Amino acid sequence: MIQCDLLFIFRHSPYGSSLGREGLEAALAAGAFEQNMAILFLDEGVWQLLDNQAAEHIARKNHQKMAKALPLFGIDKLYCSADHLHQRALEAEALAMTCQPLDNSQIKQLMANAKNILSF
Amino acid sequence: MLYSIVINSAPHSLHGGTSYNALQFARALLRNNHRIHRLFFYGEGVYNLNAQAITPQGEFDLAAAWQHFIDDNSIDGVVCIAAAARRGILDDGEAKRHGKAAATLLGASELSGLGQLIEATAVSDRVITFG
Repeated sequence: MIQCDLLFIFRHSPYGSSLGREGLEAALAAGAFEQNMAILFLDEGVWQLLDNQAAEHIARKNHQKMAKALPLFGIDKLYCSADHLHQRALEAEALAMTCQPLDNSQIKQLMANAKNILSF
Repeated sequence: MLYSIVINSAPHSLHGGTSYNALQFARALLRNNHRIHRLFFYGEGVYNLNAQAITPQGEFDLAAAWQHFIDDNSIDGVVCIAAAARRGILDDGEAKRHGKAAATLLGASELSGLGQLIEATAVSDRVITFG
């Protein structure tokens, strides 16, 4: 069963708003405090999983390294919406991080079982 | 129930109504005998506690309303120190440390780290995010 106490939901693109980076920072803090947690990438948030982000071209700090550090902080339950990947012509195999695509009923279950949800 | 509220949106922004909704929700919680463990201002939400904002006459002063709400009800109002520093919301200590001329954080709240957000999610029955 897919279960966690604290569920982070990322639904914004990585550089389109400050929520991309600041959501990641909050997730890393939760990892440092050893929470039973997971991250779910939805909507435009799935773009955060893409490799070869060249943020320097838009004068932004690349936070992909930070995202790739998630497993080092014990954050290895990474999920995304299979539908939302498909809508954007993205393949799970091509993502920068190992992320399990979920169908809508699994997403519903994940949200329902979480004790608390933080949405960015 | 014990609630914590995360405020990620700024007043006067594209989604400016959202932070006002957060205040209304917080007031409604106390009216209905719920308790608030913490208000956590994160991201753009740190602008809610900008002491330098001037509200035109006749408009609702959201910063003052947050300050009164936090003071009158002895609420733990925490502003993320990293999100605030990026946006120029500094208390006396941070202003001095970074060599800035003035403090800009409203007195009612305090700067602290993301650990306060994580602790709030661990102990609260419900955590509601605005913005």
